[in-house]
Amino acid sequence: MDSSRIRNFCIIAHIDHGKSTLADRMLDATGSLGDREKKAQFLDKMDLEQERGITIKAQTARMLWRAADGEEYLLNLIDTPGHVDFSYEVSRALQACEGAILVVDATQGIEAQTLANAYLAIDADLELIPVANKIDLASADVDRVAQEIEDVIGLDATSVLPVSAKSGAGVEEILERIVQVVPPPRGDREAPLRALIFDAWFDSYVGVAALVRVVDGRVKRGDQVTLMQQGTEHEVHEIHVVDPHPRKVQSLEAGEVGVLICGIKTLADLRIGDTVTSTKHGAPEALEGFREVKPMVFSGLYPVEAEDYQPLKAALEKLRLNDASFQYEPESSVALGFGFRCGFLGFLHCEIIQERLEREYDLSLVTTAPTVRYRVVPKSGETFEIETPAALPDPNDIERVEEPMILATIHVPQEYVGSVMALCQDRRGTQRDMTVHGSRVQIRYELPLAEVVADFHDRIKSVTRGYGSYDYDVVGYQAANLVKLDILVNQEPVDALSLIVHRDKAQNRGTELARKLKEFIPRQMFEVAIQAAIGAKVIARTTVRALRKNVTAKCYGGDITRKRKLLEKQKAGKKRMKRVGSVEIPQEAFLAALKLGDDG
Amino acid sequence: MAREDEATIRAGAEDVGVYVHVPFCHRICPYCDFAVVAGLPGGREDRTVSVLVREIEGRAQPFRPASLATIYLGGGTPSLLRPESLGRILGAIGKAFPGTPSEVTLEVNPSTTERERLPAFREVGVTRLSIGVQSFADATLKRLGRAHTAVECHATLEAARRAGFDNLSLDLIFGAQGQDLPAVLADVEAALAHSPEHVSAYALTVEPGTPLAFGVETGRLVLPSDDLAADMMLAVADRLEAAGLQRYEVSNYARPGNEAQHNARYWQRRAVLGVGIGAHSYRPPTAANPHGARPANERDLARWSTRIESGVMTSPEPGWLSAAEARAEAAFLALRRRQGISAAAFSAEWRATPRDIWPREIENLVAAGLLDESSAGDLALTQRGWLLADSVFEHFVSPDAD
Repeated sequence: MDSSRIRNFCIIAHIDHGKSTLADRMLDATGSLGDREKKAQFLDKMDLEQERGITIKAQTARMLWRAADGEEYLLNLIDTPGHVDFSYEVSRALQACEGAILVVDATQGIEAQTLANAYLAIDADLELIPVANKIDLASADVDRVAQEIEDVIGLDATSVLPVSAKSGAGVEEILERIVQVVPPPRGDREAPLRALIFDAWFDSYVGVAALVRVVDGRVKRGDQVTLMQQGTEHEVHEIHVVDPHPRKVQSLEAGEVGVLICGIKTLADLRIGDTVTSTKHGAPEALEGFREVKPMVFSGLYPVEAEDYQPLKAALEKLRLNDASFQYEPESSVALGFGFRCGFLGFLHCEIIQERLEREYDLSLVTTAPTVRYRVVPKSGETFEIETPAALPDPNDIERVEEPMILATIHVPQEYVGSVMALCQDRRGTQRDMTVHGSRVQIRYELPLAEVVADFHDRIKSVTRGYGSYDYDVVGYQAANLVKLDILVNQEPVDALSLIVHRDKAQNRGTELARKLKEFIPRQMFEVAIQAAIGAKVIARTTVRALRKNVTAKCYGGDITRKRKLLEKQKAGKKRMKRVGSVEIPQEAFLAALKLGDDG
Repeated sequence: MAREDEATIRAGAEDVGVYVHVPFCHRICPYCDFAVVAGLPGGREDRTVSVLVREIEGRAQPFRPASLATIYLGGGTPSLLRPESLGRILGAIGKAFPGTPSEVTLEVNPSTTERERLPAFREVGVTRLSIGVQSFADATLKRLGRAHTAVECHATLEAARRAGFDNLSLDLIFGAQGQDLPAVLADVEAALAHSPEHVSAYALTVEPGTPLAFGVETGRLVLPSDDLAADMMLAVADRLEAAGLQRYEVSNYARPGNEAQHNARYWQRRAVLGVGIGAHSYRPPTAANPHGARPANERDLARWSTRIESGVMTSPEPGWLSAAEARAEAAFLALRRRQGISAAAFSAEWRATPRDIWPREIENLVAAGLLDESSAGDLALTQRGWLLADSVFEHFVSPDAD
């Protein structure tokens, strides 16, 4: 198709503002879906995504639309992930578009991700089509939201389209608007091939499938291509377009979006944001904006039952096939046995992986407190990075420790500003600025990433009764007074509970952890001292007093078999406990202590 | 003494004890999880006794040619039966096994009806009474859900002496709601005033599924802490021993020579035929059954009666023991007694000393001050070990497979 009749666009929105439903209505309106498929949100592939109502991996669909001008247009909808952990992937998907539909819930207004994504789209020079969704709801206030869009984002309030993705009202108007305002792809069909990989996934039949936007030139089946960042060469085995079912085609031209199958075996061999070019007479320069995606959040995953180690390993291998952004390596803990140190893009990503392991692979897991990548400047030698508290050297050998910082943008109704600021202060935040837009306020805080990984999003939601929203950017490293907090039982460190915390918070944290452990460690035949310590200095302690009485009063004829079975059971229970030194600690104690980490 | 008598036992020369379970209880105590049937026996008495007689006749065979050592009439409340019913049961036992039993114990509750029957019970052959006093404080009795009063306790003990019983045991419970240490010691003093030959002092145990357990789980009942219960146990033991009642088992105290012979059979793993609902037997090892068995009866009165009346004498649960199970029982049952484990007797049966089998466990328990070990390798609980007996025993069993 002539590139003047192609439109590449995406939909950006805050979570739950109706992005996926709108995408489905578009497929509907253009006759791209059969009836059977209409019931579900077609673009969300995984069960989990449907449950959480977010899209984890970007998908795409092409639709044919006969516009009011009588011409038929090819509309490429590029779906983008909806969460802050995946902002790099979002930025790559935006690079593949010329336009973006900005969906705002007409009952809610602009939220943090609305704005973050809108800025990303503006940075990518996309034409924005503002839409006020959910007009079928009684509480919708299109005028207010339109004004907010004008005030905050600077788009003309009169250009805001009222839509109900639920009923389909206004969807055709959006399709028309796309044809009118989104520019056709620029790009030179005669130039050497440059195609942007903006998503990839693993397919068990064909291997890695790379979703690309051809920027310049053309790619056809059988071509030899080079991945410019990766520096590897491949033959193009198959090319598909998705409308919305995959369909084989011979070639893709500048402006088009499609899937390349190049015989790549694992996702780790390909990078999102890489440029595909021809091996012969290739482009001299790759497309801009490529970035190495590095995990930001780390956590140990351990099977509750030791025999689940191999199944866990197999499950991690499988998950990684489809998600190269998470990493894992074997790790062992005295307290928890054998497990894996895993790296994630963010905490939500960590939660998703954990849930998939538990749900799809039926594993029960213990997760250690999430940590971030610290930078250690030793007194002598070179600066290095650590991803686990155990790797932090003795305080005497350290010049300083630096931690990753973020700039958080928080949107809240005015009445919650106080509680949000209190939360940010508590998390060692420094306020950057505050802007008022009508009844809503945007607050920006610089915060340590470590303070937000576990539960910040939930806390924001809870202190604002669900009205607040938050987004972040990583902004570099900053030195901080950080210490390693160890928990010891009868002088033995419980490695799985070690934490890196700010010195000011160590006391509280240590006391809380010791208290929690005390609650869950059963009385034993000797006294158990639980201590929290920084290096050799004990900052909190408590004791589980020795068990004084454990005896069955009666043991006659009928009691004997029962008693023996009870003793056997009791012993089996002890066997399942973890031993630290001679102290037996039930699994629940770890779970409770680690849960405490989540609660902050 | 322990060494010789256990060695003899294991060498053969078996005798047998008979346990008869009479299930009826006027009311069911909230802490009880035994096989019991609510209400007086009434019209059910004759049929139940007939079934018991039939069971004794039908199930004696595998225990023969053992001679009769002891009889224990427990329950339930066996003293709710008429003396002539007890006579029928004792007669059947006498016919089933040769010899005269050296102890015939009857459990008695301190109620008026039962008290009046005591001389008649003695007539039909009962030689020892185990009186379910539990406490001499009305408030505690009420909290334990017992039907009797302190006055009835005293009256029953006095009536027993008047009827000529010279071997009396009484049960005390400590650790009930509202009890403190002085209250428990007051109960002990009241018991000692009757100069009993034997006292069983039980820590109140919360058995799952009982009303007591429900009360504790829902917080309606608050029992003394474990620490206080431990103090009670120590104080009770001190006081009873000072009065000449030697602690010869975790919960049992006796004047020397008045130890319960029938109950000792359980801890020594000697043959017991148990009849009645929920009754357990113990069959010592034989060639066909090298580690012994603990067959168990039906717990339901109707099902048990039907089974016996239709002539089925095998137990629904044969209770075969594995070597490891039998060995664990040998260890923990022996350790419940003051004498503990005799290394010689143990080796004679298992061809290995306890040290050979549980080297690390014994080492740790001795180091922890829970077990005493003699130079001969005999093992016994220490003072602290008595309190933590189950924590000690756990080291001698194999973990449950599931």
